[in-house]
Amino acid sequence: MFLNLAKLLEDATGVPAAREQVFLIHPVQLSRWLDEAWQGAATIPPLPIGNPVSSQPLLGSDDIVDALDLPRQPDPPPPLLLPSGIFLDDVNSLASAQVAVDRWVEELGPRAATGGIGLLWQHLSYAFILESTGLIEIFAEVVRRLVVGETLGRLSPASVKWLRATEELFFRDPPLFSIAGTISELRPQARVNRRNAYWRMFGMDLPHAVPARWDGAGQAWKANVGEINVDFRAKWSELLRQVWLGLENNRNSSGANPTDGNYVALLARALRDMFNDRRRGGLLAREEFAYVTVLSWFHLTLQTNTPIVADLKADSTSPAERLAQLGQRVGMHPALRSRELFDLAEPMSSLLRAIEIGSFDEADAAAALFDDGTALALEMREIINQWQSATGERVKERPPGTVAPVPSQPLRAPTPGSGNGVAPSGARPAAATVPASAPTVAAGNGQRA
Amino acid sequence: MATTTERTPDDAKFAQEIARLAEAIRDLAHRPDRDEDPEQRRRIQRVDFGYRALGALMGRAGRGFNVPVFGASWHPRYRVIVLLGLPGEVEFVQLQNGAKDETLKVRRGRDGDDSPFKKDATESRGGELPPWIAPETFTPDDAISSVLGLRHRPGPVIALGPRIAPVPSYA
Repeated sequence: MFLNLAKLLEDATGVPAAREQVFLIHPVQLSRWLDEAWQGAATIPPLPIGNPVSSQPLLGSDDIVDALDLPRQPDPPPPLLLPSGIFLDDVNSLASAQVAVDRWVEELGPRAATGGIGLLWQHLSYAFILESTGLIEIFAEVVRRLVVGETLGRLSPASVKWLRATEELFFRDPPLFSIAGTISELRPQARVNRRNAYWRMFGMDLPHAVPARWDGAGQAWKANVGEINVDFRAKWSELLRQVWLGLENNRNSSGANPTDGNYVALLARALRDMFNDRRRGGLLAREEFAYVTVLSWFHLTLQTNTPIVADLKADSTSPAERLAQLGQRVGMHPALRSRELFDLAEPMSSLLRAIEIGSFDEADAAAALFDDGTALALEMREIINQWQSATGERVKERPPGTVAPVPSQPLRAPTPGSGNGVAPSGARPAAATVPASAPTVAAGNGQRA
Repeated sequence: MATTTERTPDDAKFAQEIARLAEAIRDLAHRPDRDEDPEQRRRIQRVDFGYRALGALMGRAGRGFNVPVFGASWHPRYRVIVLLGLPGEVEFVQLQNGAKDETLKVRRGRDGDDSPFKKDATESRGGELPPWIAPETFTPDDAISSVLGLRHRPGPVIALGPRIAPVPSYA
């Protein structure tokens, strides 16, 4: 959600550097803003555009946002439920360049700045892909070193604000009754909780182990989870392969064209049903919100040479490079393919969200995925390139040297249920329960050098 | 050694075939991209716009994700929907819910007898009166789940509006 806030700040001021003001806003305001952002999601109009009849409910249930949001408040709100005070509608009348810093306005929520339309958070895949870089473990060590000693040097006031907000928002118990409060006596470790969500939604583990300092009871995130989407990766790869066929043959006006929009739509529906099976009744919606919020904070921190990056002498030209430099300061190294993972996180998240709400359920809509005139097709090229490079899975290529024609589709049509698996209920599941297609996105990341 | 340049009837036929083939290839290269169904093109544009709008709501920037959004709400006294921050190029607005669908021409300022601003000049914000539409099918009692800004009546979709909740107490 912090990418959304950064974008609102940038749009309001017209200055890209205004994005960094997010780190200067008081954590109590940021925490309250998260609740307002959650509440605002109820106002998002149905997508896909022009096809509301077949669209799936956002987040698995039309009622989940209302079920967990704040009570209706009078205007002005009572002191108990003060608004975040982050208000961007009147920035043009302000002389100060720092429009949201040290300022509180008695107005509710992010909706005011977006024409009454709420904001939506990233898909859980965003958190999974970014956490695969080892980013959280590196930042955890950076924050720990900064608060327990002087090994990382002196910070500027802006970095001190970042440090305070980071520790208070993500490395301690969240405020009571906050929408981001997904930690309790019953699920006490954020690391384990996130892995649990990834395991359920994608049937995949992060490529690095929980660091020894924080290791608890083995793979606790796999215990008592019921059904999981074991088959996600196979279906996802097949979708990318089919879309690539479409992109490759998009301009064909003669000869064979193996593109099959109906089959792409079939795959999209299989993925849609797979995700929505895990989201029944709004399951995982709150967890997804909380986890992508954490990752978006660190992602935003690395997008530019922010004060904390500069103070830690990690200035560089890309998020992956900055992360590597920060890791070096604390004796850790990120995933080898971090650069691709950073580039993949947002497009993959958008695409999976669009699939989930039924944007490509029909062949003529699925054709937009490989229609060269669309932004969507550009995005698909990016996703295919980054996924192939990050995972080493050759999506674009067909086996060389084959005399017999290579089939363009597998024999069987995909079904959402065929690949779902039930994880064992024991606290330490056998290694054999890990799907054969466990990700190889980044080996050895997050480990101590 | 002498060589002959005289063409046989077979050579001439062969050359004719080559010329015909070259012509066919040129035609193929210069023909329009595809014989495309306009309805299919419209559908693809909507899916693409929907994807970009989704990205914009998710906080993405660049590569077409700066989708214009606008506010929309029933006027407190007149039976019209006022459109705040509507981009100038939006000429029509499409309202939808599961049961109804209505596309209306955008009215600007005091350009009609039913203008909410005719007698009520105080509606002006900063001197600029907001555009408005006068729905016939939808009433303030209806929930409107989708409000889209169109450049022309059939499309393309170029701006995204909010859901409009029913106003049961509408006078």
